[in-house]
Amino acid sequence: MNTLLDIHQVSCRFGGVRALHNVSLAVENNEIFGLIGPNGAGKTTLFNVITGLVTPTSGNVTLDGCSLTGLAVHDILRYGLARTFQNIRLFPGLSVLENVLIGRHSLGRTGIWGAISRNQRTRREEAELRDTAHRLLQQVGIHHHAQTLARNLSYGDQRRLEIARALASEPKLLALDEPAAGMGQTERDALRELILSLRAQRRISILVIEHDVKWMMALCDRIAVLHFGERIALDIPERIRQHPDVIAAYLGSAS
Amino acid sequence: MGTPASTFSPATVGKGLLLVALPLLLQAGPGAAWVRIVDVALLYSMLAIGLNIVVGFAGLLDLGYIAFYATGAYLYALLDSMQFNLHWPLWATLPLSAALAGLFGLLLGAPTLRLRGDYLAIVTLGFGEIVRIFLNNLDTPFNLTNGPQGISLIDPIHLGNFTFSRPHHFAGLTLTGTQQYYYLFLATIMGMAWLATRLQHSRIGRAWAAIREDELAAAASGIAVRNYKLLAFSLGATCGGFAGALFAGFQGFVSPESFNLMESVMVLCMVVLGGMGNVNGVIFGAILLTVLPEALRMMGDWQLNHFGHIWVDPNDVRMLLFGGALILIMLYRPAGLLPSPAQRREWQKKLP
Ligand SMILES: Nc1ncnc2c1ncn2[C@@H]1O[C@H](COP(=O)(O)OP(=O)(O)OP(=O)(O)O)[C@@H](O)[C@H]1O
Ligand SMILES: [Mg+2]
Repeated sequence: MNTLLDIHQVSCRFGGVRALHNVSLAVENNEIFGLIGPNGAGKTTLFNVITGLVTPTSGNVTLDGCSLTGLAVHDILRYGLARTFQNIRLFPGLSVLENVLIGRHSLGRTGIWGAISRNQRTRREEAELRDTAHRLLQQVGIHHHAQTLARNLSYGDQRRLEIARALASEPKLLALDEPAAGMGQTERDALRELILSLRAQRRISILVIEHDVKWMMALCDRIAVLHFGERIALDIPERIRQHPDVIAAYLGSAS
Repeated sequence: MGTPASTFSPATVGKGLLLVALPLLLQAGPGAAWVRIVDVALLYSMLAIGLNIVVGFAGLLDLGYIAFYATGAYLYALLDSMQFNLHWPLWATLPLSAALAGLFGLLLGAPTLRLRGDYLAIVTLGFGEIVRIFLNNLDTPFNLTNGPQGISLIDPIHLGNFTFSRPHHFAGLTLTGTQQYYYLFLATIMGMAWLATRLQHSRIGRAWAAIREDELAAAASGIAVRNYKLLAFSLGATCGGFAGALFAGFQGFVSPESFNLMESVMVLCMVVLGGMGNVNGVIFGAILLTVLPEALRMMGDWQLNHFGHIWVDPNDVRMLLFGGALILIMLYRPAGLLPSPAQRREWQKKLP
């Protein structure tokens, strides 16, 4: 079986708003999968559904064959799905390093006794933790800021830190909600290289939302288009560009 | 908790000697009353350390914290007094008091898990009042707590044959009861502070910090938010219960009035003033806010002696000072007098 994330017939309503309507899509192993669509199309809502923040009205989601429906948010992370947020949600008053250490919480095993006694197992775990966190910071390129408070980072670096924090849990699927938002062109290009190298090195799948269609074309293996909560297209980038419904949706939303 | 090099630095040794000699110096100088005041300050320090786990570490507001102090104090009072003519040994009463308070912490924590900020404050405030009202009214139908009269003639803290309230001779020195309590309380605080610091700098402390900073991001980072909140409530309450038992034995008397809302607010002030999240800071806050009012009370006596009349009521001045101090702190040192290192870093950056 090659499918990692399977979203099956997911619908989600908020009162009168039909945020998602019978959306199905599947992300393959080691694939970079793009999600585009006009504002309010339901992209973030789909992220919230798969990460357990929002309960869908109907439909179900499986990751590596395990159903995620009804699981608590922190359990879904343990199953291997980590995410970043469109409106950055770091731990602003903690250092960059601490943010990443917390991202690796699910892989730690230290309980009260270990914390108090600081026995050998705890010390080994902490050492491993710090090593990995430093390596991750190096990988996303903000290692020189390890001791800075997260809130004092530049916007772009905050987005990078969010990626590092999500990676710290060793996810099978990394879900990025507009990771390039607010970045300049050089920063965007660097970020794209980073995402490609993460896929190559870690053999993970990446699900990414972004408005910059050109940037997405150069990044994604396949792209799905959401429009008013419906999936109106799903294809390889070259064909998405020419898809009549997609052109209509974008022109429609622009007018 | 310093590195081996700093453990025996002259400054540390000096501080240690001062802490050991303090009750002797106080007795010789300002008098025995001040030893007692310092004992009370140490009891409040224990409460501040406990509440700091909830408020400072996990970021949960708790306005009913004194209820756990009451729980520990009353359990000790019931198990070690003439009330039921029980005289249990300390090794049983102390852990039981702490454990019962910890259980109450879970009871308070469970229904408040989904609440934040103002709502949490109101529910915890209600919890504190409920416990006090129960203590006030549990003299009927069955006399458990003696109601508003409280329980008196509580056994002093005793370990085997050693009774802390009785003077003892050590190496040519005679230590009074309050002086011996001082050493007991000091040892307890050092233990609690050590435990709290260890927890703070561990996977558990980081999880609490994450919840304090952003609960949703904490959950999305794999933290079982509910369990860690309950753990904070219950560990904080355990400290409160432990301190309460010591208080009951030290005071020899407990009544519901010792556990009113003002006391909860006072302990919260100690935590906020001293520096939320920093264990040494909150101890400092507790000592400051216990010793300062006493000094003010002396000011009242001084007025009485010199003018035959109290012109400025120290009680009013005390409230005025607390209010004023808190406002000034919020304006100029929002992280407290002794902020935690992370918060200090942050504030240094903000200053020009
Ligand atoms: N928690 C919520 N409660 C009510 N309505 C919601 C909620 N979350 C999303 N919506 C609505 O659902 C629709 C889809 O929103 P969503 O945030 O998923 O869009 P999006 O595709 O991420 O848009 P953008 O590109 O602007 O981020 C919008 O109409 C939004 O107002
Ligand atoms: Mg969105």
